[in-house]
Amino acid sequence: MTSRTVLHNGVSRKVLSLLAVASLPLAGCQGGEDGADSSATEGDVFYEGETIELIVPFGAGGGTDVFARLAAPYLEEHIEGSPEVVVQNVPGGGTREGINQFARQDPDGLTIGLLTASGFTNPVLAPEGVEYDLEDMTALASFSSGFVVYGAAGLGLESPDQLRSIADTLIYGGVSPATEIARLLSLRDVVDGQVDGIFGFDGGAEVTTALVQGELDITSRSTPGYLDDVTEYVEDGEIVPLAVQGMYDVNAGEVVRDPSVPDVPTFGELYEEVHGASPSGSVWDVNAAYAITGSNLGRAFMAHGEAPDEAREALVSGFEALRDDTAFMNELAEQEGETTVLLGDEVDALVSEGRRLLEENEAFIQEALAEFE
Amino acid sequence: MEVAMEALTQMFGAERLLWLVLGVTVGLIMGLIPGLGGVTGMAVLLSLVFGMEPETGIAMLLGMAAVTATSDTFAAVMLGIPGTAGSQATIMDGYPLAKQGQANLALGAAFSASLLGGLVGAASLAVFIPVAAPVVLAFGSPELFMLTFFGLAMVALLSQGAPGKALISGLFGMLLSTMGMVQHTGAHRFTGGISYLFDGVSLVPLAVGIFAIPEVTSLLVQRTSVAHRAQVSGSSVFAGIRTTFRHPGLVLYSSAAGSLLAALPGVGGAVIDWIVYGTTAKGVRKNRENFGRGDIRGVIAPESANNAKEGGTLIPTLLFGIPGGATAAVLLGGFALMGVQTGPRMAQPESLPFVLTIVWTLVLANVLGTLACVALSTPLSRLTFLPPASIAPFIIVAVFIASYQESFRFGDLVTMLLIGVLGVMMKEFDWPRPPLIIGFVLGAPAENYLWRSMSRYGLDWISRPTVIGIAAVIAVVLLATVGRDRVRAFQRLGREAASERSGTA
Repeated sequence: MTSRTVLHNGVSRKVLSLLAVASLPLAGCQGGEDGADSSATEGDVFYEGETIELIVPFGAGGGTDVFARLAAPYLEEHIEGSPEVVVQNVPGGGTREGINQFARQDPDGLTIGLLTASGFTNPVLAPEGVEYDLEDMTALASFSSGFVVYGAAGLGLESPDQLRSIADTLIYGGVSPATEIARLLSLRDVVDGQVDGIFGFDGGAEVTTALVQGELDITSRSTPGYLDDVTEYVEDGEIVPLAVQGMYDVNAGEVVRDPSVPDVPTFGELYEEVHGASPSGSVWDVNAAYAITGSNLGRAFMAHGEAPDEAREALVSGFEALRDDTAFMNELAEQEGETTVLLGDEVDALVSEGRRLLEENEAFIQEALAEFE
Repeated sequence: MEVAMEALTQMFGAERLLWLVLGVTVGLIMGLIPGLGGVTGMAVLLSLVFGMEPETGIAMLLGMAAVTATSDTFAAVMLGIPGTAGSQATIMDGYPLAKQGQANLALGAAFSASLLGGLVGAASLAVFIPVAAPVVLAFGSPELFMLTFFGLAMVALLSQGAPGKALISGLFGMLLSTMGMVQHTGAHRFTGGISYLFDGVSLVPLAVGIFAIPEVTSLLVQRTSVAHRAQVSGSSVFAGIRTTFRHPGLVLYSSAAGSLLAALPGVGGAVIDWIVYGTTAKGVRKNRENFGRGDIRGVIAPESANNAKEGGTLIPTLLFGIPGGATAAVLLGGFALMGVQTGPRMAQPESLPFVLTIVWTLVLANVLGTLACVALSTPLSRLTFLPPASIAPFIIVAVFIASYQESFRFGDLVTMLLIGVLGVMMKEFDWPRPPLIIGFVLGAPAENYLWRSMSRYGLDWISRPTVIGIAAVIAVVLLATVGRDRVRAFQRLGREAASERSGTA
């Protein structure tokens, strides 16, 4: 090989080697799939000097992602050993991709997964592509998030009296029936009239805009989104809140109001006000199931079932400290409204109960969903 | 007015300027390196934003977003690789210019066009946000479907003389876009049980495969460097800048179109530059034959639109929380992390200082970005004279990284290679490729909007006034461009026939 220091037209070898070197860091950047440490250090504190990977099954910038990024720095403080907590976005397949990936990681206590409603409903209702098993996971903590159902003003949604006598067909619009079917079914039971469902909107902002435009009559949205954008319209009198999906109270065995929008009744309460009797039937079991998976378990931090005990204990304690950290909780409340935090075993109990209710009513739900296929 | 000046002086607060420069630098690098693009950079910077003062955080995030639309031109012009989705149309004429040894000219024109476009975009944000709400609200699902259809109709303008092939190419793109799981019905299309395919084909591997792979392949096969001529001939960057200023009308049209189209939710960034490119290529009066072969106007138009859309896309993002694209979505997340409220309040006078901060950020970012890019032009354009054996490996690595870095899935690489094969064949047999991308990008939204329109209104939506209005615009544009071509061709045939007859008579 002849040595040439100058190639065509004065572009020296130096430039080329610079290019080559410049491309190497590219290959290395963001290649953070494997945790930097694959074995925990022996020592008193499990997480000392470690990095925890927090897998978020959504793209960067969405509501869940923002929540995770808000919590991460506080978690670093509160988990004994002050590990680094790194958020890893793994979007795809409607949370399947991210949770699948979480399930595939070594159960060494160095990876946590953040599950939302679909993470719990998909294994029962839409198992295709689900490669994880909830039985292999154990819950660390759950942060509630709720959903508010609201409608356009002037349609007779303002009071139970008016609801009782609605004659026209109402149009409910949403993103995906699998996530929202409980709300639609409850709504249909309450209103007693025809409620058509249209799905395929892109998100909470789109459905709200569609409502304001008059394309939809009723829609629903996550509570943080509602508090962010919709309350303005409510103040202006353009939009009327109807009901909340609500939280499930295990002790009371029923769905109760969302602490961040305490003035809005649950569907159960609304039904009673409109019909003068308690609601009953499969619809309301489904309501409870969705309250658990969608609201109570709205943001559920999970660890591998086989992770070392000391890791799990350290994590649960960390979340407990996080719950007691008023600075964090205030910050969270500003972002999303009041949140209820549950820890460890309580969450596991809810996961089981939610799963039980879903499985028992699976046929009923699938039949309801069939309308929208 | 004083509010504007006050917001401007605040921009020069040292801390804010520093973060702006950081954002701009990251944006430059992200745009420069093919395929890294806006979203990755935003995601990286997003973690830094937590706890920042809104103005500072915005300076950084927007600084980044605004500049990638300028710096992505390098890869497009010099290597024929789309730096971001927005620079695809720039390749059409920018790359041929580079092949003629005129990379500097193309770059200079592109950067100045980008700057002007960015300024127009920023200005339109300030001007229109107070009044945009009712306009945006006027566009329901049926109207959004018509807009998407307008974008699809642009395929006709990009047919490069082969309308049948263009149509098939576009339809195939739409077919590709149907692959995947449909969220709102749970239906699986063409997924074959492979979980990778649940989300369908990703845009980046597709775009890279269809544009970059054929170019690299032809470089290697023909064993030429990008620029065929050996000498560093051709005009300087400044000549390119001057050229832009000689087409003020074009710049104005492209920037206006770019920012206004971006202001309407549903059109999407990847298509705006195609629409502007297509209408320019077919719409200009003189010398249309060179489009696709190195007409500088084919660089100026999409680059102006590209940057202008960064400003326009913020209108629905701020007013309704509806992100115009992936970068806007991440920006919204950044806003949330900083405690910034978006919503109809943005149209009110009390939000004006905030809006103006954004506007000035866009302005400054565009200026800084352009200066940096111009400075980098001459040294970087020498890359076009490298022999393929030197440059091709780098391009190939960059192309693989570009496809992989989006979601780190092996399937993306497979997609890129398969589509690459398709792209090579299409290039070889002269099937136009832009229609495929357009069909792909617009297929899913078009179906979605149509589905919603039909579910909600049955067939009644067709008689809505705005729908009819947009249909009329589509008809006019098509007639004025493609129709005119046909008429002229027809006339030419007639004249030739006549002269033949008179010749033989």
